[in-house]
Amino acid sequence: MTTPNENLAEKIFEAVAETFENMAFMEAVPVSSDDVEPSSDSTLLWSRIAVLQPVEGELTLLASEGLAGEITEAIFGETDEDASPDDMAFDALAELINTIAGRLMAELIPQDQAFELGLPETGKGWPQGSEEEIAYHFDLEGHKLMIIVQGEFDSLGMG
Amino acid sequence: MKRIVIADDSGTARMFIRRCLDIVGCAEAEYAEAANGKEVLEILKDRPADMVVTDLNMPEMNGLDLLKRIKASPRLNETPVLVITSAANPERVQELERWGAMAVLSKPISPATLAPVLAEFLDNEEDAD
Repeated sequence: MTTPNENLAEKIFEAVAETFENMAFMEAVPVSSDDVEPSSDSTLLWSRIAVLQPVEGELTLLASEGLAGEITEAIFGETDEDASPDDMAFDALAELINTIAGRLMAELIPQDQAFELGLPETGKGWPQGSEEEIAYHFDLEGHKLMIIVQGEFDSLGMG
Repeated sequence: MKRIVIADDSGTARMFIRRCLDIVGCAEAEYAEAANGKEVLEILKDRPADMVVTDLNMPEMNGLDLLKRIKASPRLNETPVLVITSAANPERVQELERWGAMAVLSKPISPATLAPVLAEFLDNEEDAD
C-alpha cells in the first residue's frame, strides 16, 4: 500500500520529470539523498512558489549556478545578449517551479477542486524556510537538483 | 499576416509559447509580448490582435481580468483569447470559457497540445491567404 509520503514523492517525481523534459529537454531522475554529494559549485540559485489553496505550503527549486546556466541554455537555446545571465536563470527557474507546482497540484487534488498558486520568487544562496520540510533530490544530466516541500501536501491525493 | 499578443510575466514562458506557436504554424505571425494584462490593453489600444495568448497568474492585471476587459470591449470582443496556465482545473476552465476564452491549456504546453486548439485559427489564416 502506498503511504501519503510515498504518493507525494511519486507525484513530485512525475511533475519534475515531465516539466524538465517538456521545457528543457532534460531528463530529471530521482535519487536518494544518500547519493547526493556536496557540490563544488557552492552558489545556489532558487525559485519558490507558494501554494495558497486548498492547503498552504511552499515548493522551492534549488540548483547550483552552473546547473541553472545549463537549464537556461537548454530552454532558451541561445543567450540573449541584452539580458543578464542571472536574470535569465532566475526567470527560467521561476517558470519551472510555477509549472511544477501546477502539475503537482493537478495530480494531488480531485479534478473538481480548485487550487491557487502565488507568484514565484527567486534568490541566491540557501533559502530561508521552515523546519518542517522535505527535500527531494534529482540527477539532472549529471548535476544535482533539489525540490524542497513545506506544507501539508501529504494530506492530499490519496483518493 | 496574423498578429499575436503573448502575455506572461515570465520571459521564459513567453519565449516557450512563441516557440510552440512557431512550430504549429504561426512562424510568419507578428508577435507582441506583454508582462501583464495592462500591457496587453496598451498594445491593443493602437491596433487589435488576431489572437491573445495569456497566462492567468500575473501581477498588475491577471489573465481573467484581461479576458473580461477584452470581451467587454465592442472593439476587441471578437479577439480569440487562449489561456495557458499552471493553475487550470475543470472549475476554472468552465469559468474562463464562460467569460469567452477560446481554450484553456495547462502548462507545460507542447506543440502537440497547442495544435488542436489552434486548428480553426490556423484554418482561418489559410482562408485569408
